[in-house]
Amino acid sequence: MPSSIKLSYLLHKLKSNLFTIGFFIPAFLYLVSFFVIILVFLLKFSFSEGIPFLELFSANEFKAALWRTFWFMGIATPLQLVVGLLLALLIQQSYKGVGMVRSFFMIPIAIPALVTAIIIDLVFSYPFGPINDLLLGRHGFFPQITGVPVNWSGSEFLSLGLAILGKTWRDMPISMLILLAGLQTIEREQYEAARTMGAKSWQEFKYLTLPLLTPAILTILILRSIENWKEFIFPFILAPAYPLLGVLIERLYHVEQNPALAASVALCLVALIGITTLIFTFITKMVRKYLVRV
Amino acid sequence: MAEVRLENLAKKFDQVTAVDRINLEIKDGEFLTLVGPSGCGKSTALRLVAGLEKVTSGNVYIDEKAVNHIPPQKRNISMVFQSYALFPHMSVESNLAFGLKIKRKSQEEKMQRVKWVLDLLGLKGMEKRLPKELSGGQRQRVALGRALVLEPDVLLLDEPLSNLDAKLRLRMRTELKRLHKKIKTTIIYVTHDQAEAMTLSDRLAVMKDGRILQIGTPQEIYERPTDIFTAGFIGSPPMNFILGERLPFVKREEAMVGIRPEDLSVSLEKAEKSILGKSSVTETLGSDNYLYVDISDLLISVRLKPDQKIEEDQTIWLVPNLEKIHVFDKSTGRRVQWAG
Amino acid sequence: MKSLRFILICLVLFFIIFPLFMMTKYSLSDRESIVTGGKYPEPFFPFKPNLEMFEALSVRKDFAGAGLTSLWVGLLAVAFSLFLGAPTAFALARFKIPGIAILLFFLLSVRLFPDISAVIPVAELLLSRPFSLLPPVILVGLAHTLLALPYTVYIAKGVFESIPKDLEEQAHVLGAGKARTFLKILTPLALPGLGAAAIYTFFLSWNEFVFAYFLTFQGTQTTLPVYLLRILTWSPQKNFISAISLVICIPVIIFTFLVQRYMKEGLTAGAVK
Repeated sequence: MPSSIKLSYLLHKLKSNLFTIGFFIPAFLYLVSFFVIILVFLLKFSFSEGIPFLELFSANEFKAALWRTFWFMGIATPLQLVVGLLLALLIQQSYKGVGMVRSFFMIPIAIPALVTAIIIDLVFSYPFGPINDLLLGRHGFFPQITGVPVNWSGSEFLSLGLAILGKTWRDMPISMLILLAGLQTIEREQYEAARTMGAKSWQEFKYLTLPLLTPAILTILILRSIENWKEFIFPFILAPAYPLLGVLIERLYHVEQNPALAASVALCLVALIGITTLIFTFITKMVRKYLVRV
Repeated sequence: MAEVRLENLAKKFDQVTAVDRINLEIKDGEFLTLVGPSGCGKSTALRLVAGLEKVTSGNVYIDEKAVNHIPPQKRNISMVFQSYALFPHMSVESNLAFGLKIKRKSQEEKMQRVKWVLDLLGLKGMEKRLPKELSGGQRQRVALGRALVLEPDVLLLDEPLSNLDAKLRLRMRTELKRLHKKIKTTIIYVTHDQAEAMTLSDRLAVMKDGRILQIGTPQEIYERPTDIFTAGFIGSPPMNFILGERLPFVKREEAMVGIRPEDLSVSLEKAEKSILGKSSVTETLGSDNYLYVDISDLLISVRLKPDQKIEEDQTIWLVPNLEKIHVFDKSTGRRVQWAG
Repeated sequence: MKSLRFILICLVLFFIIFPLFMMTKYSLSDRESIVTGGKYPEPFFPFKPNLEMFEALSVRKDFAGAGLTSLWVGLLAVAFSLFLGAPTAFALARFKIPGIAILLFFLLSVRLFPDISAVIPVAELLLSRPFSLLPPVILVGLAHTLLALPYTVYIAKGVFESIPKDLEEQAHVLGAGKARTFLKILTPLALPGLGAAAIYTFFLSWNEFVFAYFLTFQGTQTTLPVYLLRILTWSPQKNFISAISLVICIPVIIFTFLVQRYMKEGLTAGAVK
């Protein structure tokens, strides 16, 4: 008896919320089906036709790409955090023209990544380009740094450096906005209270700003590291000779026409992102614990 | 403990004058309240004393020392903010100890002082809690404790009770008063609530448009308001104002006459020197009952005697206590002498 | 402190403006200002600025075709994601669905898949029958909907939450059904917010490269960013590339400035007590 009551209750619930459920379903279905398709395809491809995984891990090309991507992520993530924090601090206070400055700070995100990458490629072109002109001392106002033009795309270090530069430039506003939101949750009166109690500006930064900003900082570290792991466009344009994992996937798919291998690299990338996120979440918890101690 | 003196103190924000050349002396150990409607400059005045705003002109003295150019942390003041400004990531204990930590006090002294404050404010057992785990009243006490733990010469309170519900506000009012009796620190208190100002203060300064209109004990200000604004602002329900020409017995046509509800009595028969009106609704507050009386286009409130009951729509006469009426010049708003 | 801030702001602004300036400069440059042969440094302003490149672009059919494709893909993505996303957002905002936080996280987590990983299965699926029979505009539009939908749901959920529930209850009390309330009361009120989501979706699609690149790899019809990349493989001159880049950027930059005006108020409010 009770189970049938429960059932009819459930049915009633379902009926009265039919409208809601109907509303909810289309987008949900769309996303879920794609999600499932992506996951199933990746798994199916990766584990079909022998075991591409083993082949993959022994391939020097894959190892090199993995290593490069790791460094790309490891350098770009903190760099983007620091740049974002600087920008957020610059537009946090109110002064004349702050709205305009803020608008300008938002521009990079509006420019398509591909365009940004191509412009950087033009500016750093070899052997004759604006930056090389500067470094060769061909403009009177700038001292000569080098005697021969720098071939940016010919060096692993420099070309990936340019890719990091481009990525950081374009995504500055994202970190900036998250940190700005974090800064704005700190009330002015909290700073004033600290001041009446004797805190100097660096103490305010250390005891108030930084700990209260920690959630925003950790959010950025997680989001940015994901974003940097999966970066494709900047290294694709600026460092094609030194592929990161993303670039390797494209090459395997289009040039080598090997979707199975491309899918296995893609799956690896997903796994790496998962692991990084877990690590950062763990760090978040530890830092929170430490902070509450004070 | 210290005296505070404001001398021609002024503060301008761009074009707006927030504080307009005010003079004020606060005695050692005194509880002084700045009271006025919002935007009257009382909070700005307090922030000038704290050093959170730069003085435009004039001087702030603490113990006869001009502190205009001394930063807040060196003035030996403490301030409690309207929002409490508790640090959300620190426990109660850490919040209380923050100022001591900045001042590099020894661990021993820190623990001792924090314990003293916890006892004083009844916060024992809350040490490890975060601000978000406290009730409104507890947060308020932590904010107060954080100020007291530094043993300031002057304690500045900026509308500290305004975020509490009505019942709690009354209790905290009493507690604050008791606390002041105990620690005897000089307190400058800012509020827009005239009842709070009246009950708490030794003296109060009524502010409007950046200026101080009147300074005095609550009694003085209630009984002899020097201008029409103060008269209307202090007291609840507020004083009734009637044009002089409608009260022939006052014999001053150019005057505005103020009469408090308790200084009027109701008569059902025609009386001498009275005002004719028609009774309207009665408001019952339990201890006091107020009758509203229509006199042509004006609604006058009158405190009824405890057992008095007046029906609606009756013709009645209001008899003022002539010794207690206040007469103000209609154009300047200042009090004028009037011998009843 | 203030002068340090000023210097830093100037530095950052220079850093932001410089690439844009170079792009504009190149697009207006004459041949001598670009092909220096190393005899003289590239000038910071073109010797003879001209609009030749834009004139050349204006008569190119392939360029106009790519522009139209981008436009249609963008509009399709906006239409799909609003049509699918707005009702879902409404359901999320208004009704208590158990485990809603998990659902929301799940919706957003689709975006945690790297584009470059997700694109392989999506391309494999959409480029095989029966989907491959559809025109490329629709295929790319569907893919961009996948990218934009989580954001649309998220933004629209905020919009619906900001509309007081009282209005809806009032409509119900007055006898309007749920569907009518949604269409006649809520949708008009939500329009400005949904407009923001639409603009966001459009420019996400306009700027998107990876999915468009993979899905139109073999065809001739493609979107502007992919067109730009294809031009690049002919190693054309700097001024031609820059002119195309500029044309792609201009609508987005203008839009960013326009929307900023509305965001600015929030920043300056509450500065005075």
